Amino acid sequence: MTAAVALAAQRHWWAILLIVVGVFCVLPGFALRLMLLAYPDDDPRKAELRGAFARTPIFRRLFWVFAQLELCCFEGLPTRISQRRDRRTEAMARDALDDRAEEPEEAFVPLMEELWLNPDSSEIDAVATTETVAIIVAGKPEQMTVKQAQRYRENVRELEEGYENRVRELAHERQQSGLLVTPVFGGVSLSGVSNLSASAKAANGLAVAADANVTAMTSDVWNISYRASGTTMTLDNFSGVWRWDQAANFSKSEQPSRGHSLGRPGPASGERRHILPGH
Amino acid sequence: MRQTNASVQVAIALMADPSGQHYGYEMTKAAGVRSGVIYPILKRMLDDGWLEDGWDGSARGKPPRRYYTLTDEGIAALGGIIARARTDARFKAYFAPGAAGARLVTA
Repeated sequence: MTAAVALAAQRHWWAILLIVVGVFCVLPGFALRLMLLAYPDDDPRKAELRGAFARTPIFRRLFWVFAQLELCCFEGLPTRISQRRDRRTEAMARDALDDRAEEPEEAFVPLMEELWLNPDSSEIDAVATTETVAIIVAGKPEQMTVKQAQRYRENVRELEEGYENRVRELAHERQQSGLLVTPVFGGVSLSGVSNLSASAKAANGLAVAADANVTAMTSDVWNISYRASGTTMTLDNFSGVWRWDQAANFSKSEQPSRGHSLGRPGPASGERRHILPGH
Repeated sequence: MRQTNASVQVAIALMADPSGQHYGYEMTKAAGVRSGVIYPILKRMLDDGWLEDGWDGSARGKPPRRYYTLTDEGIAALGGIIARARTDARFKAYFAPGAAGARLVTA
């Protein structure tokens, strides 16, 4: 106060005016706008705080605004972060399903999404077989679990029609369960690779496979070859030969394969594709 | 809802005018609770169906203001909170003579 009086005495009244206007008129509104950015666009609290701010006496606004900081940190930010995460997970799940729909006659392993979307389908049997193929040792795949099934055009149509309504819910559930994976390799879902390092997963185009309880369905049996980092894993006991060639798709080869081998070279065609970004 | 100082204070403030419109800013003053506390409580009450909200856009040149009104369910629930608080030593101060709770009880 004495400083203000001293300033006024020195005819620096304009400086006082500027400070008062800045502190009590500009700063609170500016700070409030910044804080409101933390809230999602459709959050009614945004408009509520704006309305309350307009009715707060001007000399109390500064303190009122900073009192909202607590609210903004504990209410606005978590909501916005969670909403953004939901959207990202939903987009990932949608992309994965889109990838699946591109090749309806390829070998097919039901993802969680697909089981979800089509739980009553007799053509998707999630618990028919489980076959261990490779495990990961020191960051390299040596044995994995493959779940597989056949894919029918009808299934794809059903999925395309049905998933729009359920993918949002699914994405949310996946995020809640920490299960971010699987729509890998355009037809085959590899699982039980939790001991694969993050960099190895990224290098192999894998996402995390969280469930060790992987199942496969087959009325036919298939030979799956999986090639990653120059190593090919082959799973026998399947009639038909399907190969994934790092192009994120399976193609049926002409030759049936027998025997279980590790390290056998697989087909080299196709481009590498990461289906799930961010891993 | 847990029986806390803040929830009892908010209940008393709301029940002071069970049929009226309550505004967040006024509620912070009436209940003596920080806005960082009162808004989450109001949100819980909304979620539980104890409150309904609306927007008052009657003031020209100002953004609309959100208001809260008590539902019948809310009146019953808050009445229960206040009745329990009256018998709880932790909240004795709110019902001491001259306090907002005492006026509420005698009203």
